[in-house]
Amino acid sequence: MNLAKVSWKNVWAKPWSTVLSVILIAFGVGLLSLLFIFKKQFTEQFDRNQAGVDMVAGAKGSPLQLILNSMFHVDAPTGNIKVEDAAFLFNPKNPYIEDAVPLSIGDSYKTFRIVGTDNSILEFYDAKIDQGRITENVMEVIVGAKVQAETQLKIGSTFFSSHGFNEGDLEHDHGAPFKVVGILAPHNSVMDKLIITDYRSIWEVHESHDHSSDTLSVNQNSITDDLDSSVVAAVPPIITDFPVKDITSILVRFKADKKRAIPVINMPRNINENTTIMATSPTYQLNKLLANLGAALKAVSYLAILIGLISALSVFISLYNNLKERKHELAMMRVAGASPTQLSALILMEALYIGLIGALLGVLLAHGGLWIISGLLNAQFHYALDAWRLNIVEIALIVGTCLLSLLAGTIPAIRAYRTNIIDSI
Amino acid sequence: MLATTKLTYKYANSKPIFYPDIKVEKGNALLILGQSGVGKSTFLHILGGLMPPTSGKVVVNDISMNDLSPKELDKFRGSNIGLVFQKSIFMQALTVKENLQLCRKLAGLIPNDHRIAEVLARLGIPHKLNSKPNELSQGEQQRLSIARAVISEPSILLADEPSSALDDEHCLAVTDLLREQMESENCALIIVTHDQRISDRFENQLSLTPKNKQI
Repeated sequence: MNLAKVSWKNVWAKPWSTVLSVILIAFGVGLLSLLFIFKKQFTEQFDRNQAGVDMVAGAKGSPLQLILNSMFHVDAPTGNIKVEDAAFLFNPKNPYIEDAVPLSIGDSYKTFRIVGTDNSILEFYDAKIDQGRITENVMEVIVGAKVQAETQLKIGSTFFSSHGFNEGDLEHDHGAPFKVVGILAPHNSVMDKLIITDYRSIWEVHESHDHSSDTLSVNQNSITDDLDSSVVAAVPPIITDFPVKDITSILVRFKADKKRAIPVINMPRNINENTTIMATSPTYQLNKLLANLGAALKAVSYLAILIGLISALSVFISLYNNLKERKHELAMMRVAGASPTQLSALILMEALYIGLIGALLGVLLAHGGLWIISGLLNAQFHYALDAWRLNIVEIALIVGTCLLSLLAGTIPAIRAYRTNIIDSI
Repeated sequence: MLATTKLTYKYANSKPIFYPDIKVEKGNALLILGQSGVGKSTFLHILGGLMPPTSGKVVVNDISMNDLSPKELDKFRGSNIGLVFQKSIFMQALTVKENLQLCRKLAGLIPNDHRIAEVLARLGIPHKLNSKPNELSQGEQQRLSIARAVISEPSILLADEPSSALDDEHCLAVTDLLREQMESENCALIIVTHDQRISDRFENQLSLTPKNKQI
C-alpha cells in the first residue's frame, strides 16, 4: 500500500466530485484536441489535393465553388464553358503554361464522381495504375482505389452513370456503358474517390440521349454521336479540336520558372476581366477559406480554454474541500511516520490522477468525435479522416493538462504539508 | 527503553510546566493520571515525538529524540512509537487491511500481511480485514486503533485517554486489551488519562498535579 495507491483510492473515495472534475477536463481537452486534429487533417487534405495546380478556370460564378468542385470534388460545378472560350489555355505555345487539364464533371456512379479528362491528370496528381492500364478509348474508365473498394468494380466491369451526384439520380442507361480498364493504386488524395474517363466519354453519354444542338467542327478526327472508338484511338485528338463542346473546368499549371512573372500573377484577373470564363488561384481561395474557418475555430478554442480553466478551478475546489474533511486522516498519517512532503505528494498525485484521466478521456472523446465526423464526411463526400492517429500536440496537451492540474493542487498540497498533528487528532 | 530527563514545556503567555523524570522498561506499564489542564496531553505529545519539549530530553531505545532531524523523527516515530488516541481516525478510502499496510509502509517496514491478520485476530476483529473503517462499530474501531498502534512493532505503546468515553465494562476491557498487546509485543505501555476507574489495574502510576506548573 504505497502513496500512489492511497492517492488513487482517495480520488475514487469521492466519486462524484472527481467525476465532475474529470468531465470538465475531458470536455476542455477534447474540444481543443478535436479542433486541432480536425484543422490539421483538413489542411493536410487540402495540401495533398493541391497537386501543383496553380490556376483553375471555369464558368463564372463562385471562385471557391469552382475550386471545391474541380479540385476536391465536392459541391456542384459552376456551370459549363465552351472549349473554344478556353482554347488559349490549351495552346502549347503559351509561354507561361506548362500544361492544362480539361475536366467534365457532373455524372456519377454510386455517388462516386465521374470526371471526364485526359490521362495527363494522372501525371498531375502523380497517381499510379495498380491494375490494368490507362484509358485508350472513349467509355473506358480508371477507378480510384476507394471507388474500387466500395463499389467492387473490377477490370472489365461495365456500368451506366447517373446524371448528378446523388444516389437515385437519373441513370444514363442507354448507349454504351462505361467499362473499367484500370484501377489506381491508393493515393491518399482525391484521386482515390474518382472515376476517370476521357472527356469525350462524357459528351458521348450526354449526346447519345439529348442530342444537343452542338455542331461539331469538321475535323479529321471529329466524333459523331455514334462514335467510332477505333478511329478515335488511332489518332489521339487534342481537346481544342472540339471548340463547341462543353467542359466544366480546366486545371492549369504554370511553367516553373514563370510562376512569379507578372503576366502569370495577373492572369486570373486578366481572364476574369477580358474573357467569358473565370479563373482563380486555388492557393488564394483556400487560404481565404482557412482564414475564415480559422476565425471560427479560434472562437471555439477560446471556449475550450475557458472550460479548461474552469476544470482546473474544479480540481482545486474539490481537493481543497476534501482536505478539510481529511485533516484528521492526514494528521494520523504523520503520527504513523509520514513526512510533510509525503502528505503534499499524496495531494499532488490526486491532482495528477484527475488531470491525467480527464486529459486521456478528452483525447479519446476528440478522436471518437473525429471518427463520427469522418463517417459523415465519408458518407457525403467520400472523404475519410484518419480518426485514430495521435498527434504530438495532443501529447503536449495531455502533459499541459497534468501540469495545470498539479498547479491547481499546489495550494491544497501546501496546506497538507502544514498539517498540524496536535490540532488535528 | 523510554526515559525522560528534566522535561519542561512552556506555552506562550503561560508558566512553564515541569515534568517528573520517568523511565519505563520493555513489558512494563505506566499509568499517568492527572486532571484536565495539568499538561497531561502535552506530556503525551512530547513522549510521542509529536512536538519537541522546551527543554529536557526524551530517550527511546538509547536514541534522544531531540537530536533527530524532523524527517528522521517522522520515521523514528513511525517505527518506534505506537499511539492510540481517544478518537478513532482512519483513512476512509482504504480498507482495514490497507490502513494497516499503509502504517507499516510509512514506518518503513516491509509488508507483512501475516502479521496484520495475526494482530487483528488478537484484537478479535479478524473478520473485518476487508471492511471499510466506517463499517465498523465504535468498539471495533477502537480495537482497530490499537491494532494500528502495534502493527509497526513499536517499542513504546502510548495511549491517550483510551477509556474515558467508555462505560465501566468497556473501559476495563480496553485497558486489558492494551495490557495484552504490551505483553504479546513485549513493548512498554504508557497510558495518559484522567480516568480513575483504571487506576487499580496498574502498579506503576504517576500523578500530574497543578503543582507541576508552578515553581
